[in-house]
Amino acid sequence: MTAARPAAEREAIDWEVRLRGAAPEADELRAFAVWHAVPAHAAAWDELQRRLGRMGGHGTVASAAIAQALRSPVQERRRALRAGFALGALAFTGWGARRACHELGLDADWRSSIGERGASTLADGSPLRFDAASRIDLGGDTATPRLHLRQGQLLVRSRRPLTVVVGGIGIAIEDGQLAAGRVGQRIVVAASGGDAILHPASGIPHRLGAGQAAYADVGGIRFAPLSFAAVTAWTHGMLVADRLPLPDLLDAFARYHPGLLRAHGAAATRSISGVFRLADLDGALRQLASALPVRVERYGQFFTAIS
Amino acid sequence: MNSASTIPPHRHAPALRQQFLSTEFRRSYGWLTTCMHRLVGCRDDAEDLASSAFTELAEIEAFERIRQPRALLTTIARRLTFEFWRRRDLERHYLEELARQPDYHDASPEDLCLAVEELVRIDAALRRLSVRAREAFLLSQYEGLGYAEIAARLGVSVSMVRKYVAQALDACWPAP
Repeated sequence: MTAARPAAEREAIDWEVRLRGAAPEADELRAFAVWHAVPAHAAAWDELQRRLGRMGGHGTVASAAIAQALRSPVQERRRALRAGFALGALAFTGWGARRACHELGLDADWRSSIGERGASTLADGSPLRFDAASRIDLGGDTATPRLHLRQGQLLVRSRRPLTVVVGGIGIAIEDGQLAAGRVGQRIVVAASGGDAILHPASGIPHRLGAGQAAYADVGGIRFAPLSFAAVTAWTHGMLVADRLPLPDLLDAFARYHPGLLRAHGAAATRSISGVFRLADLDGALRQLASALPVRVERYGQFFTAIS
Repeated sequence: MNSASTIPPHRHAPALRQQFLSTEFRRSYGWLTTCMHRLVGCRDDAEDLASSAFTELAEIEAFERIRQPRALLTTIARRLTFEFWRRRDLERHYLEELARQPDYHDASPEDLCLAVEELVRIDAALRRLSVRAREAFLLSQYEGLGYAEIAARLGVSVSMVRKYVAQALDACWPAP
């Protein structure tokens, strides 16, 4: 750390590092609230958040472009300088670099920012829609396209065989609509107009009838009491929750609102049912506070804690 | 009697400095521009870089201690050239990637200029860090990965990742 930095700023950095991590513990949040109550601390916290806001971050349209630019290598330039002559066009896009980009998700074929849903069309004309903060790669071939859902949710309608891969599960449809997404730790899948076959990484395939929905997680695949309309409510900016764990609900809202949204302690074990407007975080938090015995605390624009 | 000895040295400095700079400019500007031209391949850029190097040379307080002006000019010019290239690389990669976004709408030239300024600042700050610290921060800040995943990708411990992120935040947030 810079020696000249005031203690409040050093502590703001420490808190940012701690709160970025996994769900903070209740006593950690209490400690943060105590720290944040000091005006000089709150000022340092806001200043750091403003700085981070200017730097751009995950979920903004430019975030991938910023990361890509910052990863562009400098060694060639330094070598050229040392050698003292100009190098022409530099080949940065060798196979190695492409692979690295791929692993880091920089070359996702479709990507959306926080708060912005997207739509596109596959080569055969099949319409594809994806939720805010989603990332999808196209694989397979034109005859049997394969969509890798890395992040977020998607809805695709196809008249031909198509596979969606999410979290190691391959979901095949022949004709119909398929919705798939990651909600918190779970994967939710729903089919309409035709059956879908779920192929887990290990274990036997599982048929999902038209109009049915399923959850998949570490415990396996099981039926979900959700309608196709409920699973795809995000296409209308809505979230239909049926005994949805609170952390999963916050995860869905995080696709629409930058900043940290965290549930901890007993609140992290609660579930909620209801219909929420994804764009209206304040409304959803009010709804939560009135439906559940939880306390909602907001620290500036960027951090909301529910306990 | 030497008249110079009766005048305190600091009163002398502006005139001497002026003399030093004009001599050095006459002697080395053409030479530096030619060096820069070989390096960057464009006459106009070379002239810009050479004049910037002279501007920086003129700002050095302790000019009387400069023993080898050409060596110093070369060092300054190399740094400026690096920054010039780096800015162009950052801008190019940024625009290339941005143009591939499905939901990208053309930003105004002012916005792009500000965005590239910010990129240059972040890049310079992060360049002070180790390669791993830099990558850990990019994954956390721009890809939204959790510490555990970053640790697994980089083959380091979670506590190391936290340390890296703290280092990067410190570097990117200029102390007052």
